[in-house]
Amino acid sequence: MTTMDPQVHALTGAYVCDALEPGEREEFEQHLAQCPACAQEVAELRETAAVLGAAAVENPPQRLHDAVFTRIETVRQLPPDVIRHQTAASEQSGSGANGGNDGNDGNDNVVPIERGRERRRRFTRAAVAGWAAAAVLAGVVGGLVVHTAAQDRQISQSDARTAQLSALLSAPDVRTDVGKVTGGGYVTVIDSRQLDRAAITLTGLADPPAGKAYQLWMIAPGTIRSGGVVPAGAENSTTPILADGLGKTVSVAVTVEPAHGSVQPTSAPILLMPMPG
Amino acid sequence: MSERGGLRSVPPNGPGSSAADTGMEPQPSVADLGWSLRRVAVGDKQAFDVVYREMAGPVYGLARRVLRDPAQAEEVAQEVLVEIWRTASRFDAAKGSARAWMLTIAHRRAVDRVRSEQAAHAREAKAAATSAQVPFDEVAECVEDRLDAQRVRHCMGALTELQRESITLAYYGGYTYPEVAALLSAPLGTVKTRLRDGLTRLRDCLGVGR
Repeated sequence: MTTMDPQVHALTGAYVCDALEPGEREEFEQHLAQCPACAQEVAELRETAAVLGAAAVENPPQRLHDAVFTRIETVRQLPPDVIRHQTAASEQSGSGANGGNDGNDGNDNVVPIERGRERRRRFTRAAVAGWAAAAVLAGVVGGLVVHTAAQDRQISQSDARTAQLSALLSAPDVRTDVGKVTGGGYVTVIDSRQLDRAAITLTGLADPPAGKAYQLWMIAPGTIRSGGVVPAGAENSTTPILADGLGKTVSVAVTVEPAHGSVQPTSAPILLMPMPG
Repeated sequence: MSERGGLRSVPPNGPGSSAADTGMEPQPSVADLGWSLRRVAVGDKQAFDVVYREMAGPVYGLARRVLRDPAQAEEVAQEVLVEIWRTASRFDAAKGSARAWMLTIAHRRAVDRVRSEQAAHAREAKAAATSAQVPFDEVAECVEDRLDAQRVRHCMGALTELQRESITLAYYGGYTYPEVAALLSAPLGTVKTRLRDGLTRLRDCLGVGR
């Protein structure tokens, strides 16, 4: 079983390239199941081949997106391979490979939420943008009123914020989208790639648990960085949080973290949505 | 809120607070995609949109590279992306990155399509030999701004000619290794070995570890 036929072992490269003859492929896979060294090598060469694959990137037509998202409406998702997951979890303790139960619990919440979002998406972009812009401006004005009674420095900070937000809202490439948060509430993201800036507003979220806070995450290919801890009270207001330096950010996420925030997310996201622009 | 009580701890691959505690640089891994897949597995379409944005280009591009025909590539890309949605719960971060998992599905689908096409109309050896002339540089042509493409170009350039041609024909061309051997007039065993040691060299050059 552990004796490695060097001839068979040498097929790892061809296997990873999907270059084996049909019968050979199945044979090699049987061998793979019994040869941990081969499996390890295949895993590494697969990561290598993936870099080759990723290098072939090409923009697909928009209709591919439409076709895929139409198709998945009618495709039932496979349940997790529970036995394998449990084995994996016991092998590498604390890796959180317990997708099984969460899958079932999550489904009840997620499905209607997503339907809600689909409906919202049918509104025209302009309508959403208009509503969101109004919400953000209301937040700015509200903030200003509060801060007027406070110190001068705060006023000038608010002025700067107002100017930044106005610039964002009038940017030629401003885009808006709304995502629904697991457990209730919405997140509105307004962004402009030209200005490299986004305004993010949380509305209707419940108070975070004691000692916890909501934290925003900006996700770019290969990296997650903090978009800031949401200040107490801001999880249910229209005061926008400004994020500069979007760079290659492709999506935004929200997690529940310790009140002082985390360097990297330590819990599953309660919101994960693509950047609008 | 009950949902929050049910939140899980550190995701697989996900650098947790322990990294911060030890002052270690949190690893900018492909954690985000693995993370997204876990959300996809519970039917989260926003998360799937994130996956789509990241992977539709590589999936479609790879299918196009192998199949050449844009219409067929689009069909295969659609199948692959729907397959990712369907089987997201089977992604196992302990076994490799999310990107490798998805591109493995994509490559196999594209190659399977080539093979079934071949069964329908056996390709002429002559036509095949002409395609064999495709220089590896073409790989990176349309995506020069992408870091991956640059790295691949650089590392492919560091291979021996036989390694490079074997990998290009097998991986991007969708040829079986006996076909590659015939195209390059090289012994079967040699091509088999070149595919393996060529990929191993690429692995080291690209710094792909696990």
